[in-house]
Amino acid sequence: MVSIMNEALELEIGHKVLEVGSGSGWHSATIAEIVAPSSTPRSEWGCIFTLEIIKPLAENSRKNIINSGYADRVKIINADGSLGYSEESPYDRIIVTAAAREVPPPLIDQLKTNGIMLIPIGSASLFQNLIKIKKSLDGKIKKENLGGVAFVPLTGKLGQ
Amino acid sequence: MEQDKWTELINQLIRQGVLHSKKVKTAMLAVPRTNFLPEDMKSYYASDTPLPIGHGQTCSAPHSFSLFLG
Repeated sequence: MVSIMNEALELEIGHKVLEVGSGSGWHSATIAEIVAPSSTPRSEWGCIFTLEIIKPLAENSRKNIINSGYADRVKIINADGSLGYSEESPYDRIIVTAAAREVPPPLIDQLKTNGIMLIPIGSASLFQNLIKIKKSLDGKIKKENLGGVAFVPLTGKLGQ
Repeated sequence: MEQDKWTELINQLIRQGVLHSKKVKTAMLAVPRTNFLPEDMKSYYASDTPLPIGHGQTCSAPHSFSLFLG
């Protein structure tokens, strides 16, 4: 299934990325190494905005991001990720690391044209399909199923 | 030494066909999970499983995260 995938998120240097579900902060630090590598000039760097609904986790992941040297590229926000983060939208890429029943509409609105979103869609019972969403120039949405995954449920207003 | 266990895990993901891109490999090698785990979980950082980080949440298994990045 997933082994046929080729760079699902297609990240490039300079991309502005929204992550829903910061968890430990490890994802966003790794994404920072791709969109804003230390080896390239700062003027070319992209950045990551990552939303965490659980306050102590947001604080902890912020601490991890600072300690590992990514605070200049990653911003952690304690907020309901199911609503996205319109303040900094639109985003080149959106990555959702929790499972939703359906794609929360604000996330589609906050995706740039030609942007890509990855989101696990399915039940809360730890089986979902990883869906790749592309927004074309005319605003149309194309969905591709990349195969089975198991994530915790997306919580919040538009979660499950 | 510690870094070697992480390198070994990343190479395993490549062999399994989960991780394809050189760019993603470089990024994953640069950021081992160690610094992002609670003290009592740090020693498991290079095992390919999700690890608890409190509040019912986990730090993803490296293979799951690789699926997102390629």
